[in-house]
Parts: sequence; C-alpha cells; structure tokens
Amino acid sequence: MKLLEQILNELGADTLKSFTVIPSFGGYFQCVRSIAEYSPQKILLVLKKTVVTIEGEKLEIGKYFEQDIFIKGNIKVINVD
Amino acid sequence: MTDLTVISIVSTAENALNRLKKAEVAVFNCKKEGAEFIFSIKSKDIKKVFAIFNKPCYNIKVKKHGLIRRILSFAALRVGLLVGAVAFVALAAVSNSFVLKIEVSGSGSYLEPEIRRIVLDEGAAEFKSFSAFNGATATGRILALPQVTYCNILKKGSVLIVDVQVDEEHYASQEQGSLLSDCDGVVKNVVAVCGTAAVNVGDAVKRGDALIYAHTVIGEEQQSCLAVGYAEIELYRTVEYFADEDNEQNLKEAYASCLIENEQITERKHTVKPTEGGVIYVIEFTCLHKLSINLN
Repeated sequence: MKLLEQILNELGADTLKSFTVIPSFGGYFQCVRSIAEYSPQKILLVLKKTVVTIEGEKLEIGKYFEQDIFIKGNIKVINVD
Repeated sequence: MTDLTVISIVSTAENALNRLKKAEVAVFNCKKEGAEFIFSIKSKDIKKVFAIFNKPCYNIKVKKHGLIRRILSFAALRVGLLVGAVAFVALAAVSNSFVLKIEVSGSGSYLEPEIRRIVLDEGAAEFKSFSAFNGATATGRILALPQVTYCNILKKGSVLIVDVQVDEEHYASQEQGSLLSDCDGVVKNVVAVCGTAAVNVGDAVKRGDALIYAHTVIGEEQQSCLAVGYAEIELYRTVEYFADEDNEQNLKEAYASCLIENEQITERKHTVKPTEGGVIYVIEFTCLHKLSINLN
C-alpha cells in the first residue's frame, strides 16, 4: 500500500479517490457520494465529479459507511465517466 | 465481533442506501430479494434505522435480531428452563464434592463391614463432604486388616470406591462365626481386629461363651462381618502325675506334663501324695490360654 500511495502522490493523484479491485473477490471504493443504481449485475457509484459503473456477477454491498463502500462479487468491468 | 441485526425493507436499494449513508449508519451484507432490500446494521443503530424509514410505505421489519438480543429473548422466554439448568449444574457441582455412596469392591469385599467402619471413622459418610475424609489413614488401617494385600480408595463422582484385595491363598479359608471360649476361666485380654468384643477384661467365661462376635455396629445398625482377633483366658487346672519315688527328676517330668500348646503358665504349686508303689504329684497351676480366629 505504501508503494501505491507513493506512486499516486508522485502523480499528483488524490489517494482518497482511488479504488481497489481484486478479481473474483470484490472491490473497495472511496469518496462515494451516493449509489445511483444497484443490482447483482450492475452498481453505479456517484463520486464528486465522476460516476463509476461496476459490472459483474453476484455483486453485493459488503459494507457501506460514510464515503467508503466494499463491493463483494466478481467484478468484470469498471467504467469511469 | 460486531452484533448485527438483519433488516428487511420494501424500497429500492439506491434510496435505502443513500438514506442510511446520510444518517451515517454503517450498512453490511446488502442483497435484493424480489421487492425487498435486505441489509444488516449494527444492533445499536436499530432505532435510528426505524426512524429513518418511519413512513408506512417502507414496510420495514427486523428479519433477524442480533445475537445478544436473540440470547436475551431466548432467556426471557425460558426463565424456568434456565433456572432449572443453573440449579442442576450447581447441584451437580456441589454434590460432586460430597460422598453419596460408599462401595467396597475386590476380593476383600467380605470385610466390608469392617472396612466401612474404618472409612466412617476416618471422616467419610454418606451425604458428608469428601474433604473431611482422611484417605491415607483409612488406607493404612484397611491394609492392617488380616490378609489384605492391596487397598485403593478413590472417588468417582459422588461414589467412594474402596478396592480391597486379599491374599488369594487365604481367601475362602476364613472361619465364619464368632470366637467361642473352649474353657472356663477369666478373660485377661481381648483384641477384636474385626468384629465386636463380646467380653471385657476380668469377665468370667464358660466353655462355649462368645468372646468376639462376628458382627460390627455402624451407627445404630448391626452388620455381620468376619470375626478376627484373639483372646487370652486365665484358667485354673490340676494335674496328677505318678512317679515311683519323689525326686527332682520326677518333679521336672511332672511339671513338663502340664505344658500344653498355646498356654503360658503364670503360677504353679505342687503337693506330693504317697501312694502304693510310689508317689503322686498333684500340680495346681494357672495359665493363660490363647484363642484366636482368622489371624493366620
């Protein structure tokens, strides 16, 4: 994680707006303002300036608190608009 | 470990999640089941969640209470059962420290009344605390019983088991019944290892009188047992011995004729009566006659 934070900082990115995906397990998303759509196949997360579309199979919200969300399931596609 | 309550609500997942997020309620394990949106929250947030979705259209309900709440609910509905269980466990724990039964096993079980008496003497009794029992002394006293070669006292639950083994050679060769006097005399000593002394020192006894009874008294109860012990009876006897003449050698032989096995002469005197062809030594003596039972 330290390496990732270092890379993001050097690139001038905000670590709080990053997300992590582990194939066939799930993903952890930060800075989520709201959930625009939720189904086991598709989840739409609204961030401050972007919308993240997550597509996959058996998607479930494992934990959602404040601006952090953990999505369980097999994530196959992520679109950032 | 977080205590989670499962909530079911008729609402869109997006709407429910956004409302919960605004109220800063942590949401776990969300899933959709038809029109219902099911999620878990920390049990402490349950009132908050019901306040958020207080409108009837949400049809919110608790699907599964948290573990603590379920345990409390289970306990509240089964107070009698729990009180009974606690009472049972307490009773089992307390009764385990008590002796409720004494059992004597092994080839030496024919000595049970005597063993039971020793065990009672050393502090063990039915419905009495085991801690009051002096096991080492009891074991020593039991081992001192005739023919006992092995003794082990152990407590299994509430039962005190005394395992006693005797010398196989002597087993089944025990003399049953009481020790009876085979002569008239005065009791000088009586030792009852097992059983009960029937006479006291100084008592006059006749042939056939009991000296040691084959029973023992435990509390107020009389129980049969093996009589083990010995008694010494002082008796008076007169012996006449014929000799051709009165001399020292003949007197020695006259005295020698008095010696009988198991007897110890304590006092003696003699008179010499002349008779046709010689003399008669009349020897009067008192002796200790020893009788024993099951002491071999």
